[in-house]
Amino acid sequence: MSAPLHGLLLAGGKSRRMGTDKAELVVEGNLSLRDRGLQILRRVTTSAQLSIAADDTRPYESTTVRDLREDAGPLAGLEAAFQLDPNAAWLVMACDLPFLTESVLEDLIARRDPACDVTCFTSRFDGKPEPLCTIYEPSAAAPLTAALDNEIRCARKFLSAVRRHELSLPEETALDNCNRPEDLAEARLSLSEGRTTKTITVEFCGPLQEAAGTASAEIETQSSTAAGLWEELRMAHHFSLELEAIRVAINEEFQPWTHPLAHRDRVALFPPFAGG
Amino acid sequence: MFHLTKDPLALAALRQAASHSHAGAVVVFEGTVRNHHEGREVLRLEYEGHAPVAEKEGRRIVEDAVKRFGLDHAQAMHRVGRLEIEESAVIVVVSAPHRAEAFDACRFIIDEIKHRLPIWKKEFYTDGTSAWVGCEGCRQGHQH
Repeated sequence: MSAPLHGLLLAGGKSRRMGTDKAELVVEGNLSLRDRGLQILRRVTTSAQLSIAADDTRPYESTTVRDLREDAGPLAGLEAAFQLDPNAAWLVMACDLPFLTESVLEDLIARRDPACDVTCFTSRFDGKPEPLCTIYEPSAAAPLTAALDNEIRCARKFLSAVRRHELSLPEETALDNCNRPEDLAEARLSLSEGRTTKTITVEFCGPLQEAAGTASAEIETQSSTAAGLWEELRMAHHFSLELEAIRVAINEEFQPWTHPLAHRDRVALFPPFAGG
Repeated sequence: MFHLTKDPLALAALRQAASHSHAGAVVVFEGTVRNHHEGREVLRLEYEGHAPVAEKEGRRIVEDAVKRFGLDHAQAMHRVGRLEIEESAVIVVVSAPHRAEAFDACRFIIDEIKHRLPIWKKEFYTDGTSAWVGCEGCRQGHQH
């Protein structure tokens, strides 16, 4: 007999890199990411709660669960949810997942294994378990509190230490998220134009060549913009540099990260310059 | 007006090309390989550049300087590949009617080269180690 399943939409993040509250953004259609996420969660769970930061005083139409700790990341939202109902399992969903659909959550629920602490998908980028579109069983509550008490803020790290039922994604790009304006441009273009497979020649320049183990590679990508491609490559090669530190040239001209990719483009990735 | 080259930089030829009957000043900047960096003893360097983009952007810098400072002539070259101590990594040569514009333009060009051109420097140290300069975050192995 499995525990009842509630939904928890994480909307208490700082959105530092986006520069504006991600939950308020409209990526497609007319619903904000918050309203869209709640709508999807309500359809697949017994009830959905909005997870908000400890210091958030804004009024919300939906029921909310307030973090018990300040600035402790997504795990603090789940901790507060377990305090609200420790006998329920929680389907946790980040608000910044514009590609995530109801059918993907239905798939997760259909393949749920209540004997594990969590049922989760694995990342399309690096194959590691994804913590923010995940079912947490009541048995995950105690290790969660212990992790937070030990200053563990990283949800992926927490996930690596519990019993997991890991699933491959039914839709490859379902968990592509939006942290920056460049990711938002990628999501909007992908959703409005649809994703197409493109062959791209990537040049890994200077220090990146050593990190990638190759000077250039021909790859197939579904990304719509240079930013989407960088995110794929960054995860696949474990580059520690973020997009802000890298410049990109497409067909031998500098371009912004939001530049659309075309089939057969040549993309050169430039780490910080050190000429002279 | 701007090139990357694997060959040693030819200062005399670059200086010769800057001679101009209209000019009253020639300024040359030469960036050379030093044997130390942040307290470490440097044995030699390797520069790597993305030639198509670096040459295109380098030409824009030089052309921009000619217009902005009213130069009679401007040219710059950057070395790539393996360089030994004391060798020239970069040379900028400008000529102008007066020294003020010539000094300013030379400074402008070398500063822009450093900031805008896709060129990377790897230092090899006397202790047998090596490192890419200005890219401490480039190393592989991101872990939470």
